[in-house]
Amino acid sequence: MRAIEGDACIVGVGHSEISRRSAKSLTALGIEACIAAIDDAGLKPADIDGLGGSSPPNLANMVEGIGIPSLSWCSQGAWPASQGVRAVHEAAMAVKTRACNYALVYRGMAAPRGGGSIAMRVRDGDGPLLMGGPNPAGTSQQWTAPYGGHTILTWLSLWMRRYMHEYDVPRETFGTIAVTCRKHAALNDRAVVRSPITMSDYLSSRWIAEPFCLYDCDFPVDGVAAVIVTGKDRARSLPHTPVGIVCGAAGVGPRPNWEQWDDMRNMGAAYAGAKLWTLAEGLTPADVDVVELYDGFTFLTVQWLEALGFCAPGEAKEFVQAGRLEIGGELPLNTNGGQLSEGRVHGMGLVAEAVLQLMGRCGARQVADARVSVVSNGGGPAGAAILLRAG
Amino acid sequence: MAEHAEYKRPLPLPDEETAEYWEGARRHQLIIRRCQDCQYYIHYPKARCPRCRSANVAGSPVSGRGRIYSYSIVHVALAPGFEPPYAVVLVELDEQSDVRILTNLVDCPLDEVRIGMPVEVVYHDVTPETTLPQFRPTRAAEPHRHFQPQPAGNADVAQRPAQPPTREVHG
Ligand SMILES: [Zn+2]
Repeated sequence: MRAIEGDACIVGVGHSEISRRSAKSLTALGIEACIAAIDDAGLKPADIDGLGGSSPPNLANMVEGIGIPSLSWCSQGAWPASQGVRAVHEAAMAVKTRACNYALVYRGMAAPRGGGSIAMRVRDGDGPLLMGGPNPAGTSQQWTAPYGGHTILTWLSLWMRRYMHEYDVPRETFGTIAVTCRKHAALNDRAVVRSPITMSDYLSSRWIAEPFCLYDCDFPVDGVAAVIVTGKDRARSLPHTPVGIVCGAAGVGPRPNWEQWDDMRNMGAAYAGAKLWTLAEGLTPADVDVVELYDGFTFLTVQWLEALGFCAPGEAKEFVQAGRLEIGGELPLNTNGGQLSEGRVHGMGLVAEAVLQLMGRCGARQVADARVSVVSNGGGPAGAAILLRAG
Repeated sequence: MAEHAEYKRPLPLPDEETAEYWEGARRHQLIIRRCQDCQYYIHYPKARCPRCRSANVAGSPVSGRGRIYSYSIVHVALAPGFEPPYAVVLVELDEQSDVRILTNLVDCPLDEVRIGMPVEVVYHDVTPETTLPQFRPTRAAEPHRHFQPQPAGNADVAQRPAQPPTREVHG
């Protein structure tokens, strides 16, 4: 089966400066990344007629700041469409249905202000805080905030604990993801943390929300990444060998809620992974040369390896071995250092890395003969993945 | 009331669907919405039964007993009024295992928390308007004062929904 988005491709990549704390606004960083992507594709802002992404950065300010004269397609998705991978998949469909010719897709994140590091803080105010509003999975914080259990950090630590319990998974499985990403980051000038860590460092790092330790959590940064999506016909005249979007899939299960999800051995990722390979034009996990799998937490990367069929459910504890996942190994993983080390650009940093790998532009961290890649994004009740192919 | 004025933690803001739960808590009862046609417990509460689509739903008291499905020990400051480390646990209720309540675990040392641990509800009156159900390890000898037994005939409701497709696809 041929996916409708099959001839859409990515022709340019751009990053803003990525740092622990920028003096610039996220919108300013967004404009920086988008203009870099437009330049990289050999285009002008006036060529852009589609814009996908999500706020922040502020989309209205982005249009003016980049100098886009008009748009015939614009998508500013909310959960579960908010992150990089899903936005790129949407842009591919927009290009294929001729809603636009050149779609610019961006996503970025700002590091939390005000003292918090990993946690999303609610308020340090005086007096009780009433919590009735929705959380990103469509339910209400009234069930969780009164118990100090209202963040993705706590929800996913519950999922990870249950997964470890069901399959008897050791902490070293997650530690291997953290150590491998940091090793790759040493080869990436953009990565905000590049000093190597050992398994011993991982196992002795401080707890954040058990079973999550410090090195299970991605690194908060100020940064934005962007890509340009167009059709293969238009790509021929552009400077880079295009990277085809073979197909994409998003997944949500029957109880799409962080606490009430029926079986915490898996995530929405499982639904996205199962769908992806039905659209893959005969490609299978064995054809994949390099993977960029979401690592907001190491646990999510482990889940994606199972969800995408690189190993069977529950078998990641055997599959996740340092040599296998390193550059030069059987399945190089998160070659830019992932969000764990390059920084949390909310999926788009992983998209950008996959594209650069398939274009052969990764220098010291280039995976030899990289032709096929999978990028995934998301955790908990929802996830999305795209399958990319060089040329 | 002096201690109430000091209460700094986030408080629930009930809405149309959840008022019955929080009003039940104020009476020291655990009230879970239940389909009156097929007897399925619907949590979080919704206007229709996800199993039979009936709109004939109403709050129904449950035993307040369950088991820990999963737990987290939080070591960072996430919200006002919480002194880390503290336990956040997901309790699956004895009546129906896919009814889960996120709660703290009280009266239990953090290093004794385990998946599968039997727990029971206790009620913390945190302000004059708000009572939070909390859970503690079950004390077998202590009877439940607030539980009204339900009629029999719903032995199948504890069944989980079907597994997601990945088990078949990759398994
Ligand atoms: Zn029903």
